[in-house]
Formats: sequence, structure tokens, C-alpha cells
Amino acid sequence: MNTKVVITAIVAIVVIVAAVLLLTRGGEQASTTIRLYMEDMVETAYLEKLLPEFEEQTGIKVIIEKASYEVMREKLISVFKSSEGYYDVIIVDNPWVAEFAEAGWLVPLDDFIAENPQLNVDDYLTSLWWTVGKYWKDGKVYMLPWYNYALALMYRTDLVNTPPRDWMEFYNLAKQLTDPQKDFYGVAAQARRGYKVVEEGLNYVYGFGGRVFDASLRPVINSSQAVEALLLYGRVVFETAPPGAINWEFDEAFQAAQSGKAAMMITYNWMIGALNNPEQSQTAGKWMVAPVPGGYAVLGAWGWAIPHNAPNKEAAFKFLAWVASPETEKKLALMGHAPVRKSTFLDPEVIQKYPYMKTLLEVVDNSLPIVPPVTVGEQIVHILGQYFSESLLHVKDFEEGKISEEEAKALIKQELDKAAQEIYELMKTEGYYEEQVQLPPPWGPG
Amino acid sequence: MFLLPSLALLVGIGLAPFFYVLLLSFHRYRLTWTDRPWEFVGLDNYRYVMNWERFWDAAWNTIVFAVGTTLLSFAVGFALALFLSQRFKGRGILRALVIIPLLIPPVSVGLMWRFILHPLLGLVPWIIKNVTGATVSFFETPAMAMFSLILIDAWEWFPFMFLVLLAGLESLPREPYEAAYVDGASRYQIFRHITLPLMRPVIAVAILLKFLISLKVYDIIYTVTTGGPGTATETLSYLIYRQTFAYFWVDRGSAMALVYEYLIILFAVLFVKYALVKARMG
Amino acid sequence: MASVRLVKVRKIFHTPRGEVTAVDDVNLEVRDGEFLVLLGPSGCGKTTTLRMIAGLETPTSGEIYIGDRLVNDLHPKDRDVAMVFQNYALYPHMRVRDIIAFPLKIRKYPQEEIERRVREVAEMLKIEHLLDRRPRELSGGEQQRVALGRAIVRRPKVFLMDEPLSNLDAKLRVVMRAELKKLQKNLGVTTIYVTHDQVEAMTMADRIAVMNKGRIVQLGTPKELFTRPANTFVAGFIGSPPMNMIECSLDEGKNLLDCGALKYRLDPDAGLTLRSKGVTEVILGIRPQHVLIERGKRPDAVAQAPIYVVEPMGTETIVNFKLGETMIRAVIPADIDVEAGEVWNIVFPRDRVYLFDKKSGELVA
Ligand SMILES: Nc1ncnc2c1ncn2[C@@H]1O[C@H](COP(=O)(O)OP(=O)(O)OP(=O)(O)O)[C@@H](O)[C@H]1O
Ligand SMILES: [Mg+2]
Repeated sequence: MNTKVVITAIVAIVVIVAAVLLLTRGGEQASTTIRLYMEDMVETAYLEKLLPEFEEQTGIKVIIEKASYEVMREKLISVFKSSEGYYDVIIVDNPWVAEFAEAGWLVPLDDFIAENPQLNVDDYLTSLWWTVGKYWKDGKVYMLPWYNYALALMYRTDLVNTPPRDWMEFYNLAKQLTDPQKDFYGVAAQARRGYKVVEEGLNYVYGFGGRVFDASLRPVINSSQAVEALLLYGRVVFETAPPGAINWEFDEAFQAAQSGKAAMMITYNWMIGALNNPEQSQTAGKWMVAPVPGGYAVLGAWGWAIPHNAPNKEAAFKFLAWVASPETEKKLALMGHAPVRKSTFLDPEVIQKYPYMKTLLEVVDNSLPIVPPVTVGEQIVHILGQYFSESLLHVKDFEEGKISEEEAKALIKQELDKAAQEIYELMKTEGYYEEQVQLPPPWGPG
Repeated sequence: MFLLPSLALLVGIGLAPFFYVLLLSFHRYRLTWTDRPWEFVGLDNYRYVMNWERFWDAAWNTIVFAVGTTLLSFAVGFALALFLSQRFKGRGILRALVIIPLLIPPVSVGLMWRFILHPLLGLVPWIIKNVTGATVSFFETPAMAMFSLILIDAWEWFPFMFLVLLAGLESLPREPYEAAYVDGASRYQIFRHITLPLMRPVIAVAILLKFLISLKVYDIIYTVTTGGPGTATETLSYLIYRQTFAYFWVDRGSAMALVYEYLIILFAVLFVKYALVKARMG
Repeated sequence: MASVRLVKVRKIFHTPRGEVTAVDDVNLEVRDGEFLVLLGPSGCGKTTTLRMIAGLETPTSGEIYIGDRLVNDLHPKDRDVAMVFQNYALYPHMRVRDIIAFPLKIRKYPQEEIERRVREVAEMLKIEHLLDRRPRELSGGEQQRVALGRAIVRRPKVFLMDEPLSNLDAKLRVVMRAELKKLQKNLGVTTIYVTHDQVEAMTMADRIAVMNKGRIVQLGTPKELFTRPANTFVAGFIGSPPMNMIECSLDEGKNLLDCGALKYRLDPDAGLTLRSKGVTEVILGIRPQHVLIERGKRPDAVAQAPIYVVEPMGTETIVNFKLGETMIRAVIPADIDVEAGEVWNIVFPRDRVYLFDKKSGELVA
């Protein structure tokens, strides 16, 4: 017998049988599978723990594909643009919402919400609802809020008696606590160009009464309040933060704070958990959270959405109904998830586990999105990031005595003028300003 | 005749994307414009790019970065290659150690170095502080940020230079060396008159390759400085990448990419013409 | 200038297939100013010996002296020798001019002197027209002359030349032979010259060291080697056409060598010597030039045989006889007419016959 012939025949038969089995299975749809696209982080892991519950209830299998933040935008757009579709459910960062919605890439959820009254959308915090829920322009709902990224003040209770209420107070306190001789600093700042400098610097701007846009969507970031705010921000970075903080990201700042080298830090409100977690922090137990000085915090948020070309919308809706329900959110919150519903913040069980929940509610309630839902949100954040970073370099020159305070302010004003101009032109290209608009709260009057 | 189908395929695969980009560069179009048609704008995008200060700033940054990292990684790589092409005990282990940086993914390299250079927790500032008493902040000023990026990138790439140059050294003929020994040449004279001229083509290729690769730097910029402070470390590919894939302005992105591509091609042609051809002629 | 002395020098190469003894306990003294030729077949260790003297190989054991100095641990560049490599080893990236100038340039000779010497050397080697070319634009013979030029451009203690003329055409080789010999005599530089061409060795050498299988089997002047070859190897290697070697056994009683188809009567002295040394199996050697042939009968003829092949060489003719298994050659003047098939008498003049011990190959009488 010729062994080659036998082997070839066997391989051929196996391949054919396998192919037939695979094809027929595809036709039968024995069990439904949906595909999620999510950022790779701890919250995603919490959700994974709860998934068996959903799979048991519905018989729908869930596959989560995780990606790092950097690649998500690019990946999402390639999926949106393909005719086939790949993901059934995705999460979307707030600067991208309007862009994706206007392009027709997200399925409106209004009917779904009407059919599922138990979702109780009134329960979502107003700031979040207008950021990653209802789209102000056409009044339709494209997303259900999933996660909040509101900024808050973390401070060491052993060093700070009462958290500062405004930015000047914050600066003074930070300065008082700074002792470079001992490698100890008032603030672990994160002023890297890009999202970081905006997430931090805008809090100062908000606190000084400045805004990025007015209610008719004209850029006003070049206001005198914003100039004053950035000058003070720069002084904090160069006088009270460790050297190099101008290039710091979250990782650098968190390591400095947890290792006991800084007394305060502006970061996402729920980071209080990590700072007080002995597994992650050498200074666990010494941290407390408070609203950012100045009152208004910068808000980032993620929401759930269904792509226009989702292969299995029916199952996707079922998943949304489960994951966005108050019950699921409470279970997740008990694991450490950052809530988006008022009822969760106020839930006795949740408060018992996390006594600072009421403070977090106050933080999120008094927050303004990093950028309102417009179709060039991502780019606006980066324009701000660039000119904020340039402004800080002027403050540095001032700190080194190369220029006077007045000159520094004038230069910052110039940078912010450029930012405002670029944003204006960008918005115009995108067709804004052709008609008068009026933004709803939290941007509008009130 | 047989060439025709394969030629057509080649043209299709190689040139179709190019024509798409070329076409885009004469239009106004954003990836999110699903119901707005491409709008022909002639040379507008090019005019914009040519007059855009930031583009030329980025071009300058790119050149500074590429020259810096190429020279640094070459110097370190060549020195190590010369050292490790000699025969001695433990050479194999040292060679293996030298290659390690190449095995670390670029994104991790950036993150790792951010912490090695961390002013409070990093190893390098700690050493400098203990030796000189000075506190050095590696990203504080635009110049320092660029310098640090060059340092990090050169660290990631010197093993590549090392490998290419080592392969070159190992493949050099042995006879000229023996002749030079007998002729009485010193170590330095041998390096200067034998090794260097014989290595010239390899060196030229290594430098060209590394330079072209450096011109495309993105990962390290993204993970370490995101182009800051200000626009001090913003390079062309970073700018183009953000414009095209983060902001979806594929029109200006295409124009920029094409201008950039022309600049690179121009450079490569000049380099090949002068450096490589000269190297072959000796 | 200096003598070169090798004392029990041995070189063993370790290869994946085992050890190769390339040079085996060589003792050799090259006198100051002497032209010594290392002669031997391919693979006998000539190049290896030269490379050890140059410092490119380290001896496995033994000592090498240049002058009075032990140089075993001395770097090649400090030995002040010049070498012509068998494979030329030219600098591929340089022009001929710079290759020849290289040893002078690195010694920082003045520019004019470098130019003058390069010109002289190029003239002597007939490569003036090649000075601006690179090695890969040269023929093998041209490259070889450049390699020679690089060595003779300076005045080292010792010249080491590894078959420096092997790639030249016959005519040029004869010219160069003379030029080199003259140069060496003028400069008086001790020279070790490797070749496997015995004519080159005979014409150029003050003394010849014949090597075989890593050993020096005889050292002497060309004349000594020709007239008193110490063993069958030297006897067979020197002289052209090679010496006739005939295996014989001693017939004790009759003082006769029985060589199968031919018989050779020993003179009494020779017989005595053989007996005293206990040699019974003998190799009889006689150079073809010394074999006499006669048409007429002669009492002292060793054999009578028909001519097998005739090879006319111009001034002389080689005549081949086949006696059983042995072939005997005679060289005769070209004006004697011979034809294959004719029967001639073969005579071995007594004073031209060498007797070697078959076992050891050594010359006995
Ligand atoms: N590097 C080496 N490694 C192993 N064996 C070697 C090496 N160099 C030479 N040999 C061996 O040593 C012996 C002598 O070599 P050598 O080159 O000295 O011969 P040679 O007399 O110069 O021969 P030729 O006339 O062919 O040049 C040869 O058997 C050769 O194979
Ligand atoms: Mg040889």
C-alpha cells in the first residue's frame, strides 16, 4: 500500500468533514454569540465576572475583545466603514459620540428605551446623560452611560486638614507642603501634552469661570479667566510638583503619590480606591477624596452603543438591557465600578462599602464634559492639549525669571487665541455656525 | 508576454493605494462624512501644508531626531560590534545580552524608560543625583525632551545597528588584515585604513536604513511625550498619523504624507547616489 | 638583517575532523642574508612554516628566533618581516599605488620617498601602467606582482615569499626570477622563498630545504641536493625527468642486485656497505641523463630491451624502456636516431648509481 495516498486521502476526508460541519453549524445558529469591543482595563474585568449570569439568563454567548485606548478609534472606524460589520456592542468615549452619531454609525436607542422602562433613564446623572446619552442636536439617544471619568481631588488626610476650596488656596497649600530637599511635593501633577494636560488644566479654567465654548458653540477658551487659570496651573506644576511633571502621565503621578512623595493629586474620582488599596499603594489608608477646588470638575465618560452594522442587533439589545440595568450596575459598583446612576451612588449597600460615595456623587454632579458632543471632539481636546502645553512653557520662562508675569500672560493669551481660532475654523469646516444653536444644560444657561 | 499579468498585479497592489492617496490630496474629505461628497479643491491641501508652520517645525524635529538617534545608535552599535567581533571568553553571552532591547516591544520601551528617567523614582536621576548632586529632569525643557527621546530610541535601536555591523565585520575577508599586520600597521591604522573603508558600504546601508526608520518614528513619541512639551517633539509621522487616523482628515493627511514621502525619496536618492555609490568606488 | 632560526617547531591544527600536523618538529637555520628556498609538494607545510615565522600562526611547540630574539609571542607588526602571500591578500579597496605604498605610509615615510620607491618597484615588476587600478581590475599574475611589490618596497629584516611567481607566464617568470635574485643579493635581505617548482628552487637558492609531510627531509645547496640526494624523496623530487627508481634485492653470494628483468653488478665497496648495514632490499636510482644506451652488445649492460616509447624534446630525446613492470628512462642527444621497437643495450655507469635502503628510503651508497 502506498502510505502517501492513504495519508492524502485521510487528510482530504477530515478537511471535507470539518468544512461541512462548520458550514452546517453556521446555518443552524444553535446558540447566539455577540461580540463586544471594549477598552482593556479593570472595569472590563469586573464585567467579565458577571457575564455568566447574562449568558445563563439568555443563552447568548458574549465574547469581549479588549484593546488599548490608543488603537480603539482607528479600529472602530474601520469596523464602521466595512459593509459586513463585526461588533454587536461597543463602548465609545465621550469626545467621539457626536462624530459617530452624525456619521450614522450608531443605532438610535429611543425605541429600545421606550420598550424597556425598567432601564429608567431618568436615573442617570444629568451631566452624564447629556454627555454620553441623549445627543443634544437631534434629541435622539445613541448611547447608555457606562462609566464616569470625573476628576476629583485626592489628598493626604495626615497632611491636609480641610481640602482647599479654590485654586489659589490649593496652590498656597501645595507650596507650603513642598520640600524638594526631602523629595516631597505638594501635588503629583500630570501635565503631559494631550488628554492629560487638558483633563487637569481645564479644571482650573472651569474654576476661574472660563469655558471652552459658550452656549452657542463659539470657542471662548481665550478668555482672561482661562489665562489666569493656566498661569496658576503652571505655577502649581513648576513650583509644587516634582520636576518633569510637565511630561507626566497618570502612571508617573500615581507612583509618586502612592509612594509617599506627594500630598495631593488631581485624578479620576474613583482612584481613591486604588490609593487606599494596600496592594497598590504604600500610603493606603491615608487618602481622602474631595471635589476639585473651584467647584467644577472636568468630566470624561464612556457609553454603550450598537454599531449600525452590528451583525446581531437583537441579541445586542438584550445585552444592553441587562448591562445597563440598575441591578447590574449595583453589582458592578460593589466590585469597584464607577457608577453613572444616582440610585447607585445613594444605595445604602454601596455607601456602606464605599463611604465616600456621596462625595463622588457631588463630584460627578458638578462636572462639565471635557468637550461638548461635537463632531471634532477628539481633535479639539488635542488642540487644547497642544496650546495648554505651550502655555506651560511660558509659565516656565516666567518661573525662571526670563519674562515678567504680564509678559507670560500675554504669551498665554496668544496661545489661547490660536487655540480658539483653530477650533473656530475647524468647527466651521464641519458645518457648525450655519445656524444658531443653543446648547442644553450643562453647557447652556443654568 | 508572460510578464504582463504579474506586472498588472504589481501595479495594482503597489500603486492603487498611492493613487487613492493622491486623489484624496486634491479633495476636501473627512472619513466621517458619510453623506457629503468629495469636494475637489485643487492644490488647496498642498498650499495649506506648505504654509503650515507646524508641518515644517515637525519636519525639523524629525530631522533632529533622526540624525540624533541614527548617529547615537550607530556609534554605540559600531563600538560594540568592533568589541564583540574579537575573540574572547564570554563573547557569546555578551552578544546575546546586547540584543535584548530589540526584543522589547516599542510601547513597553517607552513606558519602561519613562520610569527609568522618573525624577523621583527612576534609576538614572537617582544615580546622577548621588554622583553629582544635581537633579536632572529629563523632560522638563523642549531640548531635554528631544534629547531624552533620542536617548530612548537609540537604546532601542543600537542592537539593530550592532547586528547589521557585526554581520558586516564578520564577513570581511581575513587576508587584508593579515597583510596589514605583516605590513606593520597598528590597531588604529588597521581600523582607519582597512576596517573602515571595507565597512563603508555596510555602514552606509545601516545608516540609511536606520535613518529612514527613524523618520517614521511614532510609537516612542506617542508613549513618551505625545509630541510635547508644546510641539517640541512632534515629528512628521506623528503629526500625519494624528491628522489622518485620530482626526480623520484624510485629505490634508494625504497631502502631508505625499509631501513627506517626496522628501524622503529625494533624500534616499541623494544618499544612495552619493554615499552608496561612493562607498562602492572606495 | 638577521638570521632566522626554527627550533623543533611544530604546528598542529585542530579541525572538526581531528588533528592535522602541518609542521612536524622542524629545525632550520637560515643564515643572515641567505636566499633559502622551501621546496616541497603541495600540502607539505611550506605556507604554514612561513606564516609561523611571520607571526600569523602560533607554533604548537618549539621556538622561532629572528636574529637573537625569540619571537614566538611577538605580534606580526613588531617582527619587521615582509611577506608575499600565496593568495596575494591585496587590499581590495585601494589602488595599486596605495597598496604598494601602504607599508611605507604607515611608517610615515616622506611623501617623495614613497613615490620614488613605488615608481622603482613598479618599474622592476613591469606594472607601472597598473598603478591606478584596483585589485579586482587585475589579472592573477598582475595581482601577484603587486603583492610582490608591497613586500619589496621596504627593507625588512626578512622577506617571506610564498610562491610569488607561480601565476606568471613562463617568460615573465624567468625574467622575474633573475630580477628577484639580483634584488635580494643587492639588498642582502634574508629571504625565505617557498615554491614547489624545483627549477625555480635550483636556479635561485643559496640553499634548499626540501619538505615532505611537515618535515625537512634534506637541507643543502642545489648542487648537493642534486648530486647527493639524502633519500628517495629528494632524489625523486629534484631533477627532470625524475630519477629512475628500481626495486632490487641483494644477491649476497654474487655481489649482484637482482632487479627482476635486469641485473646490476655491484662494485665490491658498495656490496660491503650494504652488507655491513644489513640492507638486503634496495632501491637503485639513476638519473635518466646518466643512463647510457648502445646498439652493440656490452658486457656491463644491465639489460637488453626494445624501446617502448620515444619522446623527442628538441635538444634531447627521452627514451622509455619497459622491463617487466619497471619503466626505465634515458635522456640522449637529439641527433641519435631511435625508434620504438628497436632493441638496445642499457648501461648504468657505476659512479652514477645511487643505492637507497628500501625500508627507510635513506641513501646507503
Ligand atoms: N588553518 C588550517 N586548518 C587546518 N588545516 C590546515 C590549515 N592550514 C593548513 N592546514 C593543513 O596543513 C597542511 C599544510 O598546509 P600548507 O598550507 O602549509 O601547505 P603548503 O606546503 O603551503 O601547500 P601548497 O604548496 O599547496 O601551498 C595541509 O595538509 C593543510 O590542509
Ligand atoms: Mg602554500
